[in-house]
Amino acid sequence: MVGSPLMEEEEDMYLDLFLDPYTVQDAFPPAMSHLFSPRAPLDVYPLNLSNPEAVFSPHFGGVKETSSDFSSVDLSFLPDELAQDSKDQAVTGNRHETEQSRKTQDQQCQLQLPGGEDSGLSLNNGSSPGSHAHLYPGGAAFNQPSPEKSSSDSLPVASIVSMTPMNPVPECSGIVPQLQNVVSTANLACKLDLRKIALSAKNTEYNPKRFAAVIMRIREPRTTALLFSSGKVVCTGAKSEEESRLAARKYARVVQKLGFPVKFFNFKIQNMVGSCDVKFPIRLEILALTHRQFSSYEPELFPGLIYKMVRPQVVLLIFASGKVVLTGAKERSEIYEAFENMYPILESFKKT
Amino acid sequence: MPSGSRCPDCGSSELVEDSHYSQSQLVCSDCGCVVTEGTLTTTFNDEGNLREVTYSRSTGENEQVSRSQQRDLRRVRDLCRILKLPTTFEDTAISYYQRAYQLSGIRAARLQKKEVLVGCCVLITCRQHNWPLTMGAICTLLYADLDVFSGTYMQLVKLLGLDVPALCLADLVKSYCSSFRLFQASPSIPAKYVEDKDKMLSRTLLLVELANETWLVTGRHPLPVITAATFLAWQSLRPSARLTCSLAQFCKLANVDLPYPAASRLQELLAVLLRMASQLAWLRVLKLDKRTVVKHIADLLQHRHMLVRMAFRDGTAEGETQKQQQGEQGQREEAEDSTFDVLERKRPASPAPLLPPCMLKPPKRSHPTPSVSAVTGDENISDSEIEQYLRTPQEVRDFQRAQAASQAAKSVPNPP
Repeated sequence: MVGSPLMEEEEDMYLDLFLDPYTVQDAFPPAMSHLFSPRAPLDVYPLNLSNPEAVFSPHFGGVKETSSDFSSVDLSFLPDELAQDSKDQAVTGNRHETEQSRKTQDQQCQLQLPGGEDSGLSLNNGSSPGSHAHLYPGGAAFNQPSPEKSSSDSLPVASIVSMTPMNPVPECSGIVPQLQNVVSTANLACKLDLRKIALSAKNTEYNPKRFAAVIMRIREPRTTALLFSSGKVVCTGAKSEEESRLAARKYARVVQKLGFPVKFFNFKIQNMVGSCDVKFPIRLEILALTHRQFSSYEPELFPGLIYKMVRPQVVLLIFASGKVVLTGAKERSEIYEAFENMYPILESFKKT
Repeated sequence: MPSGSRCPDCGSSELVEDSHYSQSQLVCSDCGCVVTEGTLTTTFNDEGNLREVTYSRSTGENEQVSRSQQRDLRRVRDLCRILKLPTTFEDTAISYYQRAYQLSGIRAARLQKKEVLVGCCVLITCRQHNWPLTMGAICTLLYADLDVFSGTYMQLVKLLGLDVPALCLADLVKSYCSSFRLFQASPSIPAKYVEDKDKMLSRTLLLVELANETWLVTGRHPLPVITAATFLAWQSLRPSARLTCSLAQFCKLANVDLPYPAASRLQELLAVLLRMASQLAWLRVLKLDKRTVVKHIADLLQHRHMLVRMAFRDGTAEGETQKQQQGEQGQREEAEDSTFDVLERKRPASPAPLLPPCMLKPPKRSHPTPSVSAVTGDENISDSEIEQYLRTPQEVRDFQRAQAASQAAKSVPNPP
């Protein structure tokens, strides 16, 4: 199974990340200075959430928890990260309670706010300190007992959620990127006679002068494969990792039926492409200015902004219409993580 | 006389410095042989005879620098001179080229890429000094493809780790507008089309700013927007005479290429102006359309900030009070005060969302969310499914025969 061994090691990984000290940030867009910090893209999370309900997805299942470690800091004008080393011990206990969970980046600001109706998430730009006082009126909404929440600066930190590839749980954004393409490779471990394959199989193209591989297509799952004479196969067009694996096996079966002694070794996902829509327009020129080290925006060449995220190593194509394409990931979680890292940055452009 | 230099013909050491029409020469006084002279002798010889030689042509530099690099460095200088760039730019561009040449990926690249690299270095230098130079301009100068240029440019920026600022729109407007040949009367340009440069520039700048604010510039090539804005500015400065002139005619008159997207940018800009006009009471009465709104561009630009806020909503409440508007308009148009008060009662047109045009168009096709298929990747693959992709032996024979026949037909020339 693709699922279970992967999940074991991932859970360990998540536990480590979980226990790392992670910063809780609260930044307001007008203070542009903090956006120029080297870790800017991952740290900044301006809180102009006009629509609190959309942020707290109900399917969290009461995961949120606030740390009791925060010193009382006035939240109203936080230029930079606050409470650098606030550990979320309480959240560890919380973790066991959650079935559904999702891994998060330690640098991400996870605003898991109580899903209560008047959660008091009136953390708009420049709001007065008074507004933070009613951040957690609905503490009882959770399974966890909320510790002393007198300090108004407690921003609940993310819960670590274990990955369930089938049912991804969106964090702050409520938007899940859809996988559009998965590229994988496999090794059939025997030399292939491309001419014979092109002759005996219906669904093939072979033009040795143009390209030294047979292009084969199958209908279910709808994919295309490149078969090389060395026995290596590249399978593209699948919509999920499992589909890609199934398709690669089908190609191997086709070649096997043609009389070659194939095996199926080293199946590896090389690239995954996802896309989604944030549904609001984005000022690309300002994004390019504020995130110079990562962005490349050349309207004369390409209408979108190319954002090269470092952690995870994913390239995002961001367009003015709000559509985002994520590529370069080797795992589904990397795509989700990259989008969750990006969404707060994009949200800061919502009201421009 | 420098010792050791002798006339190559007769061997005498009697060499005289002479200058022939300001070209200094070294001449043998015995046989009259010209020992060194600008183009008649080689640099190597000149240096041997201790004549001064420019550094860039001297043989000393050539030892470290390969011939193709020398040629390309000369090209960089020439390009800078053609574009009339300040001399500091030249040095910066040369240094970028030299740095790029150190990288193995560039050094081993094809000649085409190296030629384009020359343009890339100049472009980066210009961008860093906020000198408005478009990629299209460089590509036409180099006779290069934009795709090749873009690939090389992105690679260069990545490899050298450069921070290239964005193209400065205001400067681009100024330099582009100045290239329009409409500021002086000439036989090809009727007097009613001639326009004052400063007025046109300032109005074009305002229109481009307006386009930027209303999402017409983000993600698009900047030049067509500027063309459309220049055209509107020119028309609005004397609408009675110029409304009949179309965008294509305008560009032809001005001796400027018309970029293809400029027409649609023009329509978008006019749509924005019409929306703004619907917020002004005295214009609402006139029931403007895309042609007549041009006459009122001056008014619209004067109040553009407020009108944009009123005409478009972006989530903020539409509670823009009319008081501001009343106050301003009262100052300006006393004559229309009476009608104004009456019309004030009517609600202005409901605000449209301020979105980029791509978001305003209806989606071409609905995007069905793909159902989560429960594929595990390890299912059984039935034989029949695989067999559908294979040819039977009979089919293979037929296919081979058909292939052979088509090959034969191809080799035989077509009968006339």
